[in-house]
Amino acid sequence: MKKILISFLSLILFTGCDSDGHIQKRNYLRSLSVDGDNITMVFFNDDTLNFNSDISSAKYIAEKLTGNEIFTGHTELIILGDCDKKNILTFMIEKWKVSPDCIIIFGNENILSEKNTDDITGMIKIKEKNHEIPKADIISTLSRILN
Amino acid sequence: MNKLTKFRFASVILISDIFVLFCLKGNISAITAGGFLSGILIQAIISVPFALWIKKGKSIENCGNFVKIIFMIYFLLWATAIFSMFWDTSEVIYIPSQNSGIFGKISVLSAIGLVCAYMTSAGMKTLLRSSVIVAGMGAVCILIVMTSALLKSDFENIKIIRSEKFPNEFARGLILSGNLGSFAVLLGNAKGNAVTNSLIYFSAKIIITFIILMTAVLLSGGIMEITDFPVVMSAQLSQPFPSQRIDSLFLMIFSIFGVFSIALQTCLARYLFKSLKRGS
Repeated sequence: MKKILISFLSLILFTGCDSDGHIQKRNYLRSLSVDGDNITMVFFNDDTLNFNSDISSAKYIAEKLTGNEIFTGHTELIILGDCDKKNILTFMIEKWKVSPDCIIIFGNENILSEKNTDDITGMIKIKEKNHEIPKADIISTLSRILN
Repeated sequence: MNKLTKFRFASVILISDIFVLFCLKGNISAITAGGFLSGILIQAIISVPFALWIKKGKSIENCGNFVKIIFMIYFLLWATAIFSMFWDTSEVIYIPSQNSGIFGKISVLSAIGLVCAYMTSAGMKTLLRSSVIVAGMGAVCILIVMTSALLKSDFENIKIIRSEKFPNEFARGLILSGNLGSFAVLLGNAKGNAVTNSLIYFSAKIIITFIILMTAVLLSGGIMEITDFPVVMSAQLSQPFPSQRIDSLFLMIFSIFGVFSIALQTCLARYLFKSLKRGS
């Protein structure tokens, strides 16, 4: 009985069951645009955030502005304009842990204001399927930059 | 110790071998796989005369106190090495934010220590009995990552070779073969023909090492320059389903395998210590 109780307590204390990571207290990043210091974030709830920052502080500033934690693991699209693409993509993989299927395109923030994320990613996937463009996921893109 | 079946014998040592591969640091390529596999082949050949010696009814436990003490020290040192690998690699495993910071590190360290101490106190029998289940869970995880690698990766990554040289990778493979100590002690306690048991173990090791290294090369070969832990990165990049990553399963397997590997060494050291006490 004692062992069962200890095991149960360990489960609660060490596996995050006591965490307060409720869905409604988080914003889930859907797409991101980085053009110099201009950062645009679009979330799954269709909210959009525009601000100036370097990428290492962007998440912190966005969380201050929105008042909610930002989860980046489901990011679908990143648009890179005038920036160090290699360092930004490395940062996305190492720190923001974006999805490996996250699509990368090179352009400026106007793309996000003109088209929605579904249209952009849908178009990219069709072009990939027809071999009009090489694979546009973050891993393949970074691999081409590094090699 | 009760006699082990051949599968339990292979499982219990392979869990440690796989954990060491999980913690592999630095660039890897197809040359690394070649170096490691060649090293395992050499070990398999060298193990045959040892297995024939075991077949005559000999064992490490019957070799005298001096040999037992050497092996005990060896197991404790290798346990420390595995713990060090565990600690280094856990820095890059994604753990939710509430476990970071000094309190998080202390709680993780305490949890590892407590579980290892408990497993050691429970004895070899318990550890060995659980090895097949643990190995099965690991096999499922590896299978999922491998499938993802085959479906999604870039086979051009096999051609990418950075600074790896065959002799260096061969040596690296040998250095990471610290579980041969466990092999030497447990072979004398396995049922059936020692030569067959030895060959089954090394064959399985060759296959699993090939799968893990080539999966890592296929998935993260293109971004090896920014990857400190390629096997961990390949698990993090694995996305078998569009909406589901495998990070959580890998975290569980990593933790279980890590604790199991450390506990195996301490259990074997304890087993030899008891044998030493009985002998004196």
